[in-house]
Amino acid sequence: LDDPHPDSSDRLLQIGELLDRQRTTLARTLLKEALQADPENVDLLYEAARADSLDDDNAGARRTIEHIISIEPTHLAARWMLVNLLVDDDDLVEAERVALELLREYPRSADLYATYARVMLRALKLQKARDLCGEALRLSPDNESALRMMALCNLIERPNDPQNPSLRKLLAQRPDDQHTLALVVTALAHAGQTREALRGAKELLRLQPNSKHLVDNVRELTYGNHWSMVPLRPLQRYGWGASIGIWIGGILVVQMLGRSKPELANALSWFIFGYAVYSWVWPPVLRRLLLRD
Amino acid sequence: MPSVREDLLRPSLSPAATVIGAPFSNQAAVVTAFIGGPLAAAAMFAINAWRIGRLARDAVWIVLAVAAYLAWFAYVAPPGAAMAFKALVVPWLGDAANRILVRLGAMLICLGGMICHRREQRSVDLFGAKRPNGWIIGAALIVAGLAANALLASWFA
Repeated sequence: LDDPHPDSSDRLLQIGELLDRQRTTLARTLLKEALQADPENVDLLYEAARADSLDDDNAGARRTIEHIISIEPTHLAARWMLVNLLVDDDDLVEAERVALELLREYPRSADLYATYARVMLRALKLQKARDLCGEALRLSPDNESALRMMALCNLIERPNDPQNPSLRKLLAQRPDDQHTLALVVTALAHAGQTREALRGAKELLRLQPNSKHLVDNVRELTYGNHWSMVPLRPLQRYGWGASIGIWIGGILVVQMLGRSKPELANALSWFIFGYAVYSWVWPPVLRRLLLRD
Repeated sequence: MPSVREDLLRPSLSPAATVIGAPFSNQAAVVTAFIGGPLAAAAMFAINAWRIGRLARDAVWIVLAVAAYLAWFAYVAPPGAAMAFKALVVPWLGDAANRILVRLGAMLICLGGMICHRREQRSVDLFGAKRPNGWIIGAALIVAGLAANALLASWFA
């Protein structure tokens, strides 16, 4: 028979497992009961902050984390979460301060180096982020957080390179991990393989059907894969660089043809004009049509 | 036991230093360059470089771009100047050759900025960081760029 009054450590374990499975509603019910009995329990408060963070309530999570730190200033997990919350709130100077404080206390933690690398990536200090990932992987070559950050660095520096060694290693280590799959989807989308990215995004959504972010991601990729967007693939793939290339090439060809073959130059200039108008007008219209539901 | 790299534990962000922010979007940069001309394009390049904390590294390209534009302007703008050059390009690009080349230069400066800042732009996209509104600064740079061009034209006329 189930114990009707599980002790606090069992309750804590149960709440932690529920949060690991993103079942925040049920976890919150248990947390409410447990916190009524023991309102200053820092471990329960930490799980409450996790629940807030999973439900995208960063302000609530930060309030709880700051409360934990006021009770127990050395609480490692709370300070660690504070770094991530500060990054999400774009308070990067403070995030770096807390991350460095943690790293001075735990100088051999590969996970902490990876967290600091995340701060540096957000601060656009790409070389330092890469160096931090390198240090984390030197301390622990298979560390998943460090591999994930290194994969992101590779993606930022060489988005079209299919040989992303960190991502390959992650895939080999944890092929079913949702974070790895999310990285693969991002890598595919940046490499212009939007159809494959959409397949991955749908698979991720199947695993986390309540995630608003994933629903938006699938919608965006569905919109990008619509048949009417096929003519705009070069612009999707190469962005504004492609627009500039088309403009420069188009103007030069039209002007050069203008003297010898004016009809052809006229037709070409109308075609370029039509393409430009299509690329400006159609995507927002299609987005509104497809994303309104 | 491997030793720890102390240099990595030195802070890179300081509250007193310039706050690093997301750059203005490439879309704002292209529209600004297209309408505002090379000087507006160079100014947008410089502002984005300053925002992401790499102005010192990009300054040489920005100064070169502005110097090249001013030199070209001084070469073709005075009446009767650069007749050989004009005789060469007008048959190819028509009577609007001057305007086309100015715009071409602006787009090349813009493209240079996009290439220099491609990693930072991609990073901002990947993390979904909020970008500042580029249209207000873009409009201001367009007005300033056109005014500077008019000033230069009257100076060399």
